[in-house]
Amino acid sequence: MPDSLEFNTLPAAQQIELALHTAGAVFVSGDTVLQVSSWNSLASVKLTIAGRFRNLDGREVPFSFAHTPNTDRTIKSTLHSLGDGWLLNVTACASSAAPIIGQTFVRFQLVRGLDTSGIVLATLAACYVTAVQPIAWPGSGVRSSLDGDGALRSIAGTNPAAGADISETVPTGARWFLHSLTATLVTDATVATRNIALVFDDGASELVSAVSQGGQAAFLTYKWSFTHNGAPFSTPQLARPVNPTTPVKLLAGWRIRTVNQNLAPADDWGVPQLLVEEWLEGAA
Amino acid sequence: MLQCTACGGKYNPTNADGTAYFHACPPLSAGELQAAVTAGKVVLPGGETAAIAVQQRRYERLQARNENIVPAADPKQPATMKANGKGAVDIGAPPITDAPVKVDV
Repeated sequence: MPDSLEFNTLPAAQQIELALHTAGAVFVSGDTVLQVSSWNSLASVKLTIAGRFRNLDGREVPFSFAHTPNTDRTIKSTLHSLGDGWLLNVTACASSAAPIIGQTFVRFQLVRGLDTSGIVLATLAACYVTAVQPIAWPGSGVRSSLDGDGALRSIAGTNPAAGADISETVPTGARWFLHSLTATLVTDATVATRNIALVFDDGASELVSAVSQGGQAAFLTYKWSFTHNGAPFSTPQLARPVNPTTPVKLLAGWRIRTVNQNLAPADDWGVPQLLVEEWLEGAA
Repeated sequence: MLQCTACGGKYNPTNADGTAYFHACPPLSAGELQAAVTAGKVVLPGGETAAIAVQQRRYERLQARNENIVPAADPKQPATMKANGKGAVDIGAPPITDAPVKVDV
């Protein structure tokens, strides 16, 4: 959006008139650009960025462009030259796929310089977006990606090989709160009581371990559930024991896993189904 | 559906909600650790059984796979996998085991 006019060369009366018509807007010169940054976990998301810009000659110029976030929760930044004048407003929403709150986070900044080493002059807005809930400047404010409710996700984990325990790792760029984990355990003929512990670790050190009050004997099929508001059981009801776990948030790389001191070689866990609430950590 | 060559776990690389799934191998279970002890691949502290040992410390697979990513220092470069381990193989479509059973009554 090149413009040959320079604000300082305009007559004073025109400067005043332009200023009056752009109250609340932010003045940008040609070497200041709009930086759009996104963090996203969902496939096929595209963002449409749109806004209005007032040139030095007083014309209001709408603009619109696309921004495609990464899908692995890493940052994607793009720079957009505006020219000389006033940024009146800018907004963005998801124009493809259907992210929910907690899956696609967007930030608008004004940056001096056209490369990644540019100086951030202002952060205009930052928040989660969906197809119907946009980010807008002015209006949205600057929010942390850890504010508010996260994205509720139902995740099918890894079906362990026979004789192996369950282990799920919080992905890079995510923060999780485990609401529940459910999985079926089929025990073989080995005579022993399988007491199940649900363990959280940070990838190296164990943080907490919640051990079941009751266990599962040989030749049985139980569907185990762990939830932070579950009550310990001593006698499984309908082969569906529920156990309490600890309500803590888990950082990327931390693990949720079972430890079963008597797991026999042919005991077989099925696919664990997790209900987690997820925030995008990288945008915090 | 993929099967991890290191731990034998089976997983779908894409979750039902459209997000990517990143597999990471579990530590050895008590049974797996006992097998390793029997094979002479690891020695437990005196008097300790495999059942106790897995509660005291973690025993990780030497070539464990961890598909979680390490972001590149330069954001323009792609992220890399933490550990390829022994790799994973495609085993075809996942079996549908928990789908609703429709009954014409």
